[in-house]
Amino acid sequence: MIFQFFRKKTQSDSSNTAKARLNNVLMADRLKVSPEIMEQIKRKIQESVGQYVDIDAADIEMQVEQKSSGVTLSTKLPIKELKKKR
Amino acid sequence: MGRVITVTSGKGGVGKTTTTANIGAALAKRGFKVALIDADIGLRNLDVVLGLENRIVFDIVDLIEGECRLNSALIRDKRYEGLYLLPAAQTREKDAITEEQMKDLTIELAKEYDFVIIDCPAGIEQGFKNALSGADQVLIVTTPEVSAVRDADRVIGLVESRGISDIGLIVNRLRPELVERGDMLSVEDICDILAIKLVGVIPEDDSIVISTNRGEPVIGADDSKAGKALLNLTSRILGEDVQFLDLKDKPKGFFASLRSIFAQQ
Repeated sequence: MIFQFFRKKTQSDSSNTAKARLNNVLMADRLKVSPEIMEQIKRKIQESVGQYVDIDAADIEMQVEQKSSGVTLSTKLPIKELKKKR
Repeated sequence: MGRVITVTSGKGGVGKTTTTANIGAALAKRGFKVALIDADIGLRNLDVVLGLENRIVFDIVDLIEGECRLNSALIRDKRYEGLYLLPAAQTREKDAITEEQMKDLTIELAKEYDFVIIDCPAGIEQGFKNALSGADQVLIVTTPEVSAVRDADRVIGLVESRGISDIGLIVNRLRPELVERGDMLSVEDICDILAIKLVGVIPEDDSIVISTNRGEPVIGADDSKAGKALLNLTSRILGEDVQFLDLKDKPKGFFASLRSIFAQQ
């Protein structure tokens, strides 16, 4: 609580919005695919990975990074619940 | 042989020309012989930023077409010994020069000068390709905005595809107080996204406006944070290990200091 008190009241986060938007346009630019295709990729991942673990297409995060080894597509798939079948 | 450095950005208006002028002046101040080339044919501006606009007789197209000799086309800056400018042509088109001609020119200049610094036009068309044709090193200028960083990313890809691997990033017009309250992309955000080596961070600074009004490099102004940042940037170009400036203003009172401590939690 003391932290709250001393922290400035007007904490905004438009920079996070900027960062997220930038990531989206760069992903499309770097892969040369449209945002719709990116959404399709997410749905396909959900379809295939979703057979084994419970994930939501809306939670999937994708990022295209320029690394020295080349362009890399990394995805983060937050799991809702482990499926109880084995 | 001198080193050829091209300053580029993709997006216009991010501060390429001002950065080029100041790096040139700072290198000359350090005792190097520097040739600045304005490659923005049709929209020349490096001359006015340096305050040399009244001394132009010949330009880069005259030189390439053989209308004048190398030494008569280059304007000597009287304030910074060793600093020379090759102005762009104002009444010609960007395709008045080919990549081959530009490359030959940089090779010729690098024989005589320690540094050849090229101010690239905005965009990724012919003028951009010309400006890159002889480059050993490329400096990408960006500002903390989505559009500028996006263009920088595209330009980095194009530069890499030409086999140039020495690429440095300059973040210009940073406003630390906006970054601190979460309303501006931070230098770390930009570096994460672009993944190239950071060589300079220049704060937004009134002294740049004032210096540019007067046609003087800001590195000559006393007490200018931007000037100091540009001098540090130049040292890094020379391979020196210089700390990045702490651009944040010091908290003013007791409560402000406490707040700044807790804000980091």
